[in-house]
Amino acid sequence: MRQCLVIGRPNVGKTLLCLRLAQACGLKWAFIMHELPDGAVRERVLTIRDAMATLVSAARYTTVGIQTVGVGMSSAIGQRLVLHDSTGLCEDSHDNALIRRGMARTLTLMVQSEQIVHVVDATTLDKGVLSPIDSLIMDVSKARDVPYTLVFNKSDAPGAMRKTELYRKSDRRTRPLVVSALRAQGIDDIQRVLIRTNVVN
Amino acid sequence: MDPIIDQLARGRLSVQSSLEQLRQAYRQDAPRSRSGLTRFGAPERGDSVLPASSPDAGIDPVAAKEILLRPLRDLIGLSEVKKVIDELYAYLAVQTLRRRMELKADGTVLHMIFAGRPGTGKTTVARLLGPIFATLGVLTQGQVVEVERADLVGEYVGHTAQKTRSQLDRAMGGVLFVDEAYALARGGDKDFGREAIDTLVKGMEDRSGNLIVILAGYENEMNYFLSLNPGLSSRFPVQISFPDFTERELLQIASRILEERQYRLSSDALSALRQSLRSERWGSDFGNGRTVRNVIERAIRRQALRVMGCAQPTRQDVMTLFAADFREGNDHAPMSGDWPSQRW
Ligand SMILES: Nc1nc2c(ncn2[C@@H]2O[C@H](COP(=O)(O)OP(=O)(O)OP(=O)(O)O)[C@@H](O)[C@H]2O)c(=O)[nH]1
Ligand SMILES: [Mg+2]
Repeated sequence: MRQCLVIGRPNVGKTLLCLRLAQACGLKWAFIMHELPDGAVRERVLTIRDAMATLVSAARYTTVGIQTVGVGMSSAIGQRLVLHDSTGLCEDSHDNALIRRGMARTLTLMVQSEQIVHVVDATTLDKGVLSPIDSLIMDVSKARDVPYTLVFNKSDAPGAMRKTELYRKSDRRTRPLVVSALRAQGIDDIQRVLIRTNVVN
Repeated sequence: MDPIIDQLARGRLSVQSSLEQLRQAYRQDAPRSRSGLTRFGAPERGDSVLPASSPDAGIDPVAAKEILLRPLRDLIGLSEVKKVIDELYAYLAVQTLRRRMELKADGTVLHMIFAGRPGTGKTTVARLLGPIFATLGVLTQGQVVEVERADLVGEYVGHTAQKTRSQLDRAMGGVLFVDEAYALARGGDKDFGREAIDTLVKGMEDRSGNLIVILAGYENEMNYFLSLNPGLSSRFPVQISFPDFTERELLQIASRILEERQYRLSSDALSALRQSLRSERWGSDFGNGRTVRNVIERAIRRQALRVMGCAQPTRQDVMTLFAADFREGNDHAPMSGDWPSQRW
């Protein structure tokens, strides 16, 4: 089973995106394994709808620790992929030991996972430039040389498209996939990438 | 890789520096690895690795200053507090360097008094100090344990000492933040609060070096508290006072809250907000940043009621607060339990 890390800053929509991907793969139920920062593990099976209601929130650090969502990529191929929904990386939670440990787990997965999906909230792009943390996430992922996908989320929100255009003009090397997890738009593009990178071998 | 990640977990490296160091580590490992798993033990220590100064020396306190103090700088107002902490940082950074250079360094006592009204940022600042001190090597962990009278004082003889000690244990390696500390002296001589103070002082001495105790509360009450306990003052050499926010700062706080919550003010709402803050200001229970949150929360609730009356609310409607939303109406009075956040 291939391990894919979904990484990004807090509140960019990582959790909702993971659940949308599960949904796009035809799952009605999500098998969710919640790994707490102190190492304890809790398993839950929720309908995707319930999972969205309980696990997605506008508060930052809804996800502390790692939430694993099993996603069957395609029932035909029967190959499975595991998405690791991680604690958002961000500087100003430095005072919270729990979140720090969660973030450390995120970095551990970052050096271990076989695939990385990097989620950015498009409305937070400043003059079309990635935040320092985001460019570092990109750099480290690329240095690792594993399949890496940049996703700009919240394309439905005001300003998102304009900022995405600015980004496209300033950085031509890494093309983002532009999606709205909220409206379930563009999810199939990510799904295609995941399928393409996962059928081989 | 692991040592880098471990440093992040301990609060010794910022997220950015950790990522930076990971990048460096991969770069130095020329033949790229797909698994990346265990190929690298400890990272090579190149000169450009940030911001560690030398092997096993921890981070360079001078280089890390910007990153570490940024959250503090980003707080609105508090210019005096920032200045004091800047000085303290400089002093500690130099002590750290001296220690590494094997020169004599003071083992300073860093217990503090934070004096100020509620909502002036005492807790917020305390939470930021823990990791800063940990990074400087003054504390081993840097966690901030927030307690008040009820967490320290027990119900029967011996209970108090036991409770206080267990909080001291939790705070070991970090900061014990005692909010409204003067309440410990509330009940007079027979009160168990006395025992809590004694246990606290004893604990501070036993654990000297790896624990910082911060006593917080209103200025006057803290002065009174210290005058009742003559030995205490000298044990808390760092005394920082948190003044009330100015009107301008309160408005800045308001605009930050509104931005966070994705609301905006109509053109007449700003002066209504200002009015509202002014009248709250003279109230006896004015809570500074906390009151600002209250006022905004209340307006948001009124706006919601108003919007429910619209036939087809637009995006504009649900985002905008009008002057009327800030005026005292026949709305219920705010309850203290209504405070939406403990942040201020
Ligand atoms: N407008 C818009 N909002 C979105 C979109 N995706 C997510 N959100 C909102 O963003 C907020 C955060 O979503 P989450 O999925 O919890 O984000 P996260 O990255 O997992 O957050 P943490 O776990 O706290 O790090 C929620 O209020 C979502 O409803 C999107 O495509 N468009
Ligand atoms: Mg989440």
